[in-house]
Amino acid sequence: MRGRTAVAAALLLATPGLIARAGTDRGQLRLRTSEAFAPCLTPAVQAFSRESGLSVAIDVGDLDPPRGADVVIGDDAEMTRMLEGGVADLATSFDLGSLPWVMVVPAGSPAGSLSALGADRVSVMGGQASRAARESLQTMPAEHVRVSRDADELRHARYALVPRSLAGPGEQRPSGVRPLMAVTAMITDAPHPDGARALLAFLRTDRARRLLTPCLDAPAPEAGAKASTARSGAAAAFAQSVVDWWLPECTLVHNGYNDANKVLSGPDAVFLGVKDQYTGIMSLGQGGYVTVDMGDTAIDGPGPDVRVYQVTGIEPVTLYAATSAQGPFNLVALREDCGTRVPGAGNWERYCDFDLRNAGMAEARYFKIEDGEIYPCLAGGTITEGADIDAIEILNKKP
Amino acid sequence: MSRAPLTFPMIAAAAGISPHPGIQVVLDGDPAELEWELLSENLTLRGGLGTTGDGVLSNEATRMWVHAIGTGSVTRATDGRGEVVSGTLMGYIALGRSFEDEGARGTCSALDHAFSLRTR
Repeated sequence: MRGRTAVAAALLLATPGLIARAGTDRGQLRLRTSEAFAPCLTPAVQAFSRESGLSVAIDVGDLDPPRGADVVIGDDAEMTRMLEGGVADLATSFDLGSLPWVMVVPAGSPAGSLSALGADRVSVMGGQASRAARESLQTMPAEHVRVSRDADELRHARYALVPRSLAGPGEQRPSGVRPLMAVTAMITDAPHPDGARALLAFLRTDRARRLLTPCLDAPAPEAGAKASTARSGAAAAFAQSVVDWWLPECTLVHNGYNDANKVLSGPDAVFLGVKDQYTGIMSLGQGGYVTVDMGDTAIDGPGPDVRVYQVTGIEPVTLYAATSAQGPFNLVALREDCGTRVPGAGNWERYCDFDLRNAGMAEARYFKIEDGEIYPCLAGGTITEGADIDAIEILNKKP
Repeated sequence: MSRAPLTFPMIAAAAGISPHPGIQVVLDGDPAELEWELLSENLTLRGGLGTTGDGVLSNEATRMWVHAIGTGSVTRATDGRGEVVSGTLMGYIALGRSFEDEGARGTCSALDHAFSLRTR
């Protein structure tokens, strides 16, 4: 984003004997993070400084561009394009923990949503990581919603929807907004690569995790996640053939993964350890799609019915379903963030689940998977623009 | 969120024929700021309209961020060129003033945003 939206600040970590002013010490390591995570990081970074002898400045603001940072920590939504575009090194990325959004209301307020409570003004954190939070308030008049990147302002708001780290003294209540996930990675051309690697190594230690956990919840597999049929031992049902596909001409020219057949069969994508280098994926570009015949029929059963595997970040996916190859295709979900981690499959393999019930369908055999990122092709900086589809799986198969 | 229409000067051109014919509609003067990649078949346009994280400034001085799929029927304008008089957009739109944060003037994800693509 432009400087317009950035609320940048530098937190100086004043460890005894390690005092350094941000931006004046050429040997100082720089960690860039967003407003939500900054309050969580200080204890762990101070411990690193004490143990390593390296001073670290924490800069707060938009992550991209990294403005001389060595290491970045941001939510999935902030990190996706940085990791895909090679600004940050995907091979070094890992999760630090999740941070739930909370509603803050005056103590003793009646139960109900923020809009139902009749708040005349609700403050919500701004920035790329807050889209889902702002969308959750879209039934409120815009003039009653205050979007802010100022941590102090958010902490002093009577009514707020904020990450838990920015909650003020009011009563905190759970919100239905997807928790933020703190992902860290080294900047590809970090000014201090050795120090950056040392910091990342420290953040992986149990000691660092203990220092982070009062603020971040430990990363863990999604609670209640439905097991893949492939992993559960049941007969797996993955896409069998491509019925149709379309990628815009611009995408065909600029992207490197245009083969629709790569979405067939089980998840087999591989990240080769170098920016943009994968096998086994189809990148959907700007609003492109692929329609597949599953061979089997998915039914509306317990829990989600269909799973789409997608690599790197949380690029959204739109899914349609039909009982015949000619359609009609009914919308199952629009622009669903596709970023649930696949346990044991590296930090780049993700999935998102869909329920046929949302389309009012009892069963379906044909699925159209459409890019939901919808980022301008002409502005893209990678050969993997758009959602990157690895596989499609039926979770509830018709006997 | 304001329901007042926002307008943008756009340029359209044919873009590819395989596997389906396409049309690219971009912002006049800065095509990467607001780009629409559309599949064009049977006098219907359908495709993704998107901005970068910077959004795009409208003629009305409101900044818009959009990630949405638009659909509309093409009809013949009085000068013989094609246009979409009434189409629907499903997806995400956020508004702000020129130097405000994304969504400062409202955010709306919906299946029934409206658009038109008119000749000028």
